[in-house]
Amino acid sequence: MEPSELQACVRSAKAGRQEGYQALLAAYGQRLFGYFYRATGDRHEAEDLLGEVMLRLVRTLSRYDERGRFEQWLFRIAANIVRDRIRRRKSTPTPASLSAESPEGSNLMDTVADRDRPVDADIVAKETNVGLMAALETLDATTRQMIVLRHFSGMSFAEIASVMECPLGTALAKVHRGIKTLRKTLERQETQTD
Amino acid sequence: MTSTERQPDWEKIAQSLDGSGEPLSPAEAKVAEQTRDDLAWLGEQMPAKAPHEVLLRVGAKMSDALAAPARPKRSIRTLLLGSTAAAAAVAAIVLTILMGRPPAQTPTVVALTDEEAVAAFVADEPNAIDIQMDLLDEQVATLAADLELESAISSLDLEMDAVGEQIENFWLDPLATELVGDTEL
Repeated sequence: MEPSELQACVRSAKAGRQEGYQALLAAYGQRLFGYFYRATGDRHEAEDLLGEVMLRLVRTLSRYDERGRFEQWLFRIAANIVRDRIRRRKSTPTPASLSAESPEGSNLMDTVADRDRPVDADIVAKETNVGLMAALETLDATTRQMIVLRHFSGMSFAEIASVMECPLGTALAKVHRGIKTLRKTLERQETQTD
Repeated sequence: MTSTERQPDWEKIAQSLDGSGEPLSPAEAKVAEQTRDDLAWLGEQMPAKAPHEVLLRVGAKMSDALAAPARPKRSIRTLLLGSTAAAAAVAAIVLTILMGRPPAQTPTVVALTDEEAVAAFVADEPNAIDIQMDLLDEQVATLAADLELESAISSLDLEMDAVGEQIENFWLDPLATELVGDTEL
């Protein structure tokens, strides 16, 4: 979206117009969904979080300072929501990973998806790189979030460090090592498939 | 540990990748280049595609939120003041009624002066107390209903909303970001 177009959308939304908000959703919805999906590993949670961030936008847009960068501001809200969700998840133990395979080769993600398959499941399934999701799950939540935040938001490392409340060097080191791990994991998966 | 085995200066490299900072040494430049390459590789692995239906559902939710009338928010301070005022009012009513009661006459004195007066007093006293207690009950019930209404509106979500908003405001404030950023970097 061109800066002038974005500015018009933000102003329209600030004035409380539906069109403004819908335009912002159309502009950033894809990337936000991608970010939430990769950060949480769950498409239902990703949709839930996308709804949450847009509602948060409705509540807080009036306080947005137009001199700042809207995209970074929006992803900062998104990152805070993910961080809170992960913290809450840590405090409530989960019995198993959705993609963890049983000895019979089935996993919970497949079971749940088959039982309650939404209309868009096929579209999601096509774009889902199962191997990458599994590889992302091997990373700790902070590293995973930093990597996807960098990819989807285009934030600088300084901004990522600020959002994730860690030193600048740590942010880069985690991203650097995390992607290396991802590459190795995926290469190993490919070797096993061959 | 030799200089080649030393850990890279991640902060310096990050600054360089962000487009600022000092020039990098050859070893640091290599790490920066690797990181750029890794990020580009990642870009190919992660397409950002949300299903159209998802965007429609979220858009509908957002429209509902925009159409809904804004709920008047009351601050925690207002709610606390309201509760305190209600409690104080109950205490004041109880005190007023207790202090306003006629001093009890000693039955022995009454018994000695007039038997009829004793009978009238005995007949009237429970009645008077009943009226006062009814009045008190009514006022307490009204105040309890007020308190219930207050807490129903407030409950935890309003408090959490308020706290959450304050935290969010803090982080969204560019000045706060700069301050925290400066402290940590």
